[in-house]
Parts: sequence; C-alpha cells; structure tokens
Amino acid sequence: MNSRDLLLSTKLKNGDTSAYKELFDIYYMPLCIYSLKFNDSFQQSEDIVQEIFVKFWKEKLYLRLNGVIGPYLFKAVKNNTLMQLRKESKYIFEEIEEEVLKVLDDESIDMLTLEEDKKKLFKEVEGLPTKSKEVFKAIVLDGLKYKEVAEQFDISINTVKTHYSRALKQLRKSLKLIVFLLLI
Amino acid sequence: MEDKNTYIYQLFLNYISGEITKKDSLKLRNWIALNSANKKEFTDYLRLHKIAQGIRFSENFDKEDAWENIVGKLEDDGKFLSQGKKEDAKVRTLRPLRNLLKYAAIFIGVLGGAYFYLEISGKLSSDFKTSEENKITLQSNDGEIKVLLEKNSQHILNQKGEVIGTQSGNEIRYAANSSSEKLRYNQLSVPYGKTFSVFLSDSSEVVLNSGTTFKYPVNFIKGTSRKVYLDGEAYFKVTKNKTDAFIVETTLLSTKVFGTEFNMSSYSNEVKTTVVLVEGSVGVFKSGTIFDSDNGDPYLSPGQLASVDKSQNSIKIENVDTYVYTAWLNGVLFIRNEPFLKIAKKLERKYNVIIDNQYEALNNEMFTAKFDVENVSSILDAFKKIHPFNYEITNHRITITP
Repeated sequence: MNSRDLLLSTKLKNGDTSAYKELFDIYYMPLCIYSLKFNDSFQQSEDIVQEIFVKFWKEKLYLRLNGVIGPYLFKAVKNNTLMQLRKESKYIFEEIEEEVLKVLDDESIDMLTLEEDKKKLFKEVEGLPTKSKEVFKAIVLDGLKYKEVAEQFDISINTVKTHYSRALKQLRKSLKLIVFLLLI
Repeated sequence: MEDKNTYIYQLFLNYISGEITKKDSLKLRNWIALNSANKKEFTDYLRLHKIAQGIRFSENFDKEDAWENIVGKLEDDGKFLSQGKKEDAKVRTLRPLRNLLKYAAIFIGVLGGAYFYLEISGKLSSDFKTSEENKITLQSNDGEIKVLLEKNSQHILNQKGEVIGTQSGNEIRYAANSSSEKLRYNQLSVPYGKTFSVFLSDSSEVVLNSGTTFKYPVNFIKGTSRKVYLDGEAYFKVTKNKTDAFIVETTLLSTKVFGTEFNMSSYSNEVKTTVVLVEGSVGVFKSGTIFDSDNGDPYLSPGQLASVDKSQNSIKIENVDTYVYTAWLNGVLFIRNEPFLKIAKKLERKYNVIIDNQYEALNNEMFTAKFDVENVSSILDAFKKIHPFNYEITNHRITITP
C-alpha cells in the first residue's frame, strides 16, 4: 500500500481539509494525463477528472477506500473516460489501445546514448523534403497545431497532415526520441 | 506507392482526432490486420501521440483554474473547503484567462505505472540572479528576513529576544537547547557567487554552496528525527546520534543518516539530484516516502554516488571519485566529461553571472577540466582554446557567440 495515500486517508478521515488540496496537488495532473491516454481532448479529460474529485469529496468515498486512494481514482478516470467515448460512438480499436497502454507503462529513455541519438535524429530530419521538414519542425519543435501550421505556410490543413505524415513515416524509427524532444 | 503510405498516416491522424469516418476506420483496421509491421507502425504512432499529449497537457494546464472549478462545484452544495478559502478568493480575480506555460511543470513519466511530477518554481534561482539581492539572507519562523553581511558578527535572536545562535563572518552557529519542544525553522539563502556554513544545534556542520536554500529547525527535539530541507548543494558533516536519524530532503531524493559525511546536490534548474558518500553510511530514498531497505531503498558505501533524474524513476548507484564532488568546498571547480550546457550553470552559480549562450552547438560539447581561479574570463579563455567561440562580458552578463 502506498504510504502517502495512507497518510492522506488518515487526514481525510480526521476531517483535516488541507488533505483535499494535497490530494488534488498530487493526483490532478497524473489523472488528466491518464485520461488523455484514452481520449484526445484536454477539456474532456479535465472535466472528467474534476467530476471525480467532486464526487470523491461529496460522497466521502475515502471513508470506504481503506487508504487505497490512487488506484481507485485511476480506475474511476478510466471507466468514466471510456464511458464518455462510447457515448460519442467514436471508432475506437479497443484491443490495440489496451496494448499501447501496456507499452506506455514501461517507457523510458536511455540517457547514456541520448546525445548521440539526438544528433542522428536531427540529421535525419535535415534529410527530409523541404516542406515536410518545415512542417515537422513546426509541429514537433515549436508545438504548433495543424491549423496554425496551415496558416503559417498558407496551405490547407490536409496538406499539413500529408507533409507531417510523410515526415513521421520516414522518421518512424526515431519516434521515441521525437517524444523526448517534446520534453525539452 | 509513397502516397499510399502517406494516406495511411492521414488515417492515423484522423483516428486520433476522432474525425475518422466509418468507412475509413474499416480501411484502417484492415490495413493494421494485414501484417505485424503495419500493426507496429500504428501502435508506435499511437504511443508517440499519447505521450506527446501528456507532455503538452502538463505544460499547458491551469492548475488554479481546475482547483477553483472543483471548489466551486462543492460550494454549490453548501459544502465548502474552509482551508482553501483564502487562497481561492485571491485566485478568483485572476480567472478566466488560461495562462499558457504558466506552470513550468515537467512531466516525468509514464514509468513503471508510477505517476509523479515536479514543479519547478524557478523562483529561487531567478531571485539569485538579480545583483541587488545578491546577499545571504536568513528567514525566521515568522517570515522576517535578515541580511547577513559577511563582514559582520551578530547574535541571532528568537521572537522572545533570546539568543539562539551567533553569526561570525560566513558562518552561523546555533546553540544547543535541550528543553525546546516545538520545531521552529530558519531558512538560509546563499546567492550565486557565495558559500556559507551552518553549525546546527546538534553541532552538525553544513556547508552551503552558491545558489542554495537550506531550511532547518533552530533546535532539534530529542527523540525525533533531525529533518532538514535542501534546494541546491551542500556538504554535510553530521554529528553521530544513534537514536535520532538525520534526514535531508530534496524534491526528488532524501538521505537518512545517523552520523557521517556526504555531499548532496539538488538544484531545481538541474536534471539530476545526487548524493555522494564520503564517510560512514547513509540510506537514500525517494522524497515523500519512508526509508525502507527491505523494499529496495539502498544504503551507500563510501565512494558511491546515488542519483535520480527528473526523467527517471529509479535511484541509480555508481562508484565515483568523491573529490570531484567535494572540490567546491576548497573553491575548486571540477569538470569531468560534462556538456557545456551543464558547465555554464555551474559557472553562473560560482561566479554570480548570467551566461547567455547564443552558440547552440557549444552546449553539447563535452569538456573535462579543473579550475581553481577566481575570475570567470580565464575559464572561458581555456574553453575557447579547445573549442573556439567569442564572448563579451558586460556587468554580470556573459554573451557567447560562434
């Protein structure tokens, strides 16, 4: 059992309201990110997580949880996110999504070879066709949205997608690194 | 053929945004089912996208806004979080603007199912950089901030006016007081370009490196652990006490000792937190947990270094030459196969300068060097010889160009 959860749980049971904020500080962002693994909307993820917090406190669920708060929250987020998606009847490949989630949990970056890998990736990026390169850099390095890229280069969103797709296709061996680039 | 592939990636993008049509989703499903390479391509992409989304979210979300929303919903029902009230009232006026990148929150990871993150306040380091505030300060329990001038000697008093310690030059000594029952904290901030020593009430000595904030009780209480808080770098000589453990907490890592010598470094603008043991034995563990050797929390032997990365979830142990990590105590700067980016941060702290490096390629250049000089320009000149660049110094600012 997680000792932090246990501590929080004890505080909550003793009516210590500072534990609410503490709980929020610890879990809010991770829960939203967890929800984002199933759906693609920041807004939706935040709504779902906020609702769960409200319910958690209103119904004093911590009284029933025996100190195991984290696992409960994550499970609730998953259920509610999936429920929401089903409501919207989007086309979801559930088995594949599950598989990806499993892989996501063991993701890590090898810091030792990072510098070398980065150099290699930059080299590969430079080797892309000009437009693909520009679009790729705008999306990955500058964090622009498709729409913003389209405006910047004065092309249609579909063309942006085409260029981006082409770049990803060519760089797909370096996907992990691209993710890391987004971090720095 | 190339277009066919690009088309598939377009389907990926549409699948993720939820815009995919039924017809396309069938097409995509068939394509994935065609062979394992296709499937891998799709899952790789999904993975990338989901991680990236997580990172983007962590950088953009508005925590205060979210907290306020939740409290608001509870208020509607007549249930109110009394403790949150004050803070929220202040926040409310700031609404509804979503402030991009307001939180420099770094998303650490999807590692091993453990979720945790770190907020870099940025406050401490940026405060140090302004030269007016380039002074050693002592903040007491009630929030009063006192400037400690290195030329001075003075008594440090508590709220009742009793002497609890003495500052002389660049050190401060706290008197032992066995009768105290309540923990009262002092907090020392050492700016860039300076170091300072503290002798705690148990006579443990702590040497604080430049750009460090250190918080500690004025008096320890018998029978409880001696807990102190560090943001920055310090060298500890802890007085032996078999019953009351001495614990140093940083954002990521904590160290538990009973009496020993070690160096700990945890600057909020650095990726790594490290502990190097010089003498004795210490246990290291993740901050926010309790030291538990049965659960894999390691003990260090002399000459070992424990480290945690902001991007890694596990504590790494390796054997090192301890003098590399303690050289700063003697004013020596040791650099061992480190990228310039990291070296620049060390120079900023040691010499109280801001380095504006406009020569990006230099950041990744690795150097090994040892310096015990007092001016930063001779150091830059040495680097210049190995890897040519230009620099210009104006006041406290150094601009580097190719």
